[in-house]
Amino acid sequence: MIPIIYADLIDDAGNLARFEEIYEAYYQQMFHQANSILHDAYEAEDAVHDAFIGIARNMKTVSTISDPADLFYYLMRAAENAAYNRTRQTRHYADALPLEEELVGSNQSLWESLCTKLDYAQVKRVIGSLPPMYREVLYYHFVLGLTVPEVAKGLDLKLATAKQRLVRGKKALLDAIEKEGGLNYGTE
Amino acid sequence: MALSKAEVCRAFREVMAADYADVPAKEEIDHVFSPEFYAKMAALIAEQKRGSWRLLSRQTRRALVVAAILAISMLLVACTPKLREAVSELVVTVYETFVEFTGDSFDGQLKTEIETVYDLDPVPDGFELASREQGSPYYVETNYIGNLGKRIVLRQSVSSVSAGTTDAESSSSFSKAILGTDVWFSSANDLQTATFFYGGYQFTIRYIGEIAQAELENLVESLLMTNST
Repeated sequence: MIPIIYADLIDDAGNLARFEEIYEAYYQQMFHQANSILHDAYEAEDAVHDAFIGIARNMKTVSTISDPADLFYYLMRAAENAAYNRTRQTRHYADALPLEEELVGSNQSLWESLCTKLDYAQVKRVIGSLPPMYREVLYYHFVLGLTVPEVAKGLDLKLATAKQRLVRGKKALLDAIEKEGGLNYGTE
Repeated sequence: MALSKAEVCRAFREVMAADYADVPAKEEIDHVFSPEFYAKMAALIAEQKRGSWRLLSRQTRRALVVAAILAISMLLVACTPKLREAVSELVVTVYETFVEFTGDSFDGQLKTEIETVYDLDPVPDGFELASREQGSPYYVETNYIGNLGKRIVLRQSVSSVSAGTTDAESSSSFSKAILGTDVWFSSANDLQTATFFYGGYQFTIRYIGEIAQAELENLVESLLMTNST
């Protein structure tokens, strides 16, 4: 049972207005995503509510997401994660992963590999080949430009888990780039 | 020719778009959200509008929470041993603008799956059993339809399901013992709700329409009496 604690989570009038806009625009689709996991309308509604509590806590971060598509993906993931948290599957899975602190290259070298070793179709292919749990942290970090603590908050993960997924996601991405075998123009 | 960062980002977005390609437009989602959902969201938004709420209400809130739990604990202490086997603890958390009620395990008596489905017996006058939905092993929902748009929804669920909240600003809430079971009543506009834990399950009776408090208590009583026989 998830305790619900309301507080003045949003301390900026602009962010509050934005929060209400987001709620009005997306709660049905967030429900759809949550319900596709929980298959229980009431639980799914509660998951959407949970997700919005998290969003309220992160409105400073959420308000920096300007691309509507990015916002849509962020909210759908928030709803899915809230649903998974209600099933407690994700948390168990995340906790089962051993903590590791190894660093796999720098962000700059990853960008260079993506930009220079592959063509567009190959980049899409290697991104699509990643497990969703890694793809989402990479997307949050590299595309949305969120810091690791912001990624952790956005996905409702422990900071260590978010770091770990980021490290492993980068490694998986680099491995996939190597497997893709470099430039192969004309495939798209 | 090297790709730009913007192109890599676009590739990311296209992959993400494929993940969510089957999400329908909101206009195509025909789910009718429950009054409780809207009440909770309204409460959440209302709380955000109270910038000084945390500072002003924390002590009050804490005191009310403690008082409510103590009151219900004392009520449970007064229960007979037989009732203790069936009744689970109803934890009521009273906040400044809303009330949350949840169930805690009482000597491990809460069920983990629906084993016995309970009914309102007899079906209230003017109503008929319209549908029963059991979407999972964890809850079952029975709908009774009456005239003039009246409806009764009996929801029976296991302990893992949150009991939810009631907006305390637009509703009145109180607890009352019925046949030894502590029941939390709340009413807002044309929605009356009774929540209680019994026989290892959580029950919520929602009455959409106007109903006298005594009649709502009769509904709770009918369910409790059916179970006790």
